[in-house]
Amino acid sequence: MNRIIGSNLMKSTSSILVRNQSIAPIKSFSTTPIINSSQVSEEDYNTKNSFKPIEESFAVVHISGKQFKVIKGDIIMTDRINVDVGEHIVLDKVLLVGTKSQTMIGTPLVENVKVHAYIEEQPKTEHVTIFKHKPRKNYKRTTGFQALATYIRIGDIIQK
Amino acid sequence: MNIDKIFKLAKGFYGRSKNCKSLARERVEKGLEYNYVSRKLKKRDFRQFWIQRINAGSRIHGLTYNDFSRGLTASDVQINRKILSELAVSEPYSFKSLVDHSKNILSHLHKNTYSPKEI
Repeated sequence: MNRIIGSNLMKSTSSILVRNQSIAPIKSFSTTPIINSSQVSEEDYNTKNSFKPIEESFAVVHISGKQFKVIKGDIIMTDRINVDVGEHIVLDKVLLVGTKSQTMIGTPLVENVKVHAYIEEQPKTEHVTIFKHKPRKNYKRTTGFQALATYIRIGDIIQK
Repeated sequence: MNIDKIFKLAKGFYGRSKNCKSLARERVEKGLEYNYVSRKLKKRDFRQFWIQRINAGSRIHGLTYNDFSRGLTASDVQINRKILSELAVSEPYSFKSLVDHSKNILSHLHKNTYSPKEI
């Protein structure tokens, strides 16, 4: 049986390595977080989809190509997510969940675990001066750069 | 860059480099060149640093970094080195469970490969 492993979460399927294995098949997942477009609150979302919050836990989430270890109440800076400020989103790519008594390891994702989050701010990162110079060739170039960022606040880590 | 910006960046430099136009320009431009290179180096250096930490953490439980990451790759655990090193430092129990998971996977693998044992 062929099993696909070593795939990068952010890249397309073209860069997947194939090795002979016979464990579980790879799960496919989208690259963007689920946007809670129906404007229901965190609690309503939990009851509607029969989720329960996991108390005193941390999770490793994957957001736009980067991974973060988060707990409830954290504010993290990610690449720009094109969602309005104040909106509620659900991060569905959870790679690891740790509680006081157990650790859930995802291969690559932990099933039925999601993380609530809110968009706090849509700022730019700190300005970077890019200065290029070649000696004895009369070449100097100065430009600047500011990346687009998003601050998100982490809510409950929930499980089905 | 105009001279005001140069002097702003030259604050705290040694000797005449902080208040002499031509010297300040030289020093600031050299500094910005180093900045440019360091932004590239930062990615390399941090990766090395994370690997050292993961290695130290997994050796406590009797696995080398090499074997540990082989076990994780074989079971398709895609947690990156940044997070693994963070777990090694701040979440010893979770890190131990990852090492145990890796050990378990390794016992089903053929020698130093990613392929399962021949039956």
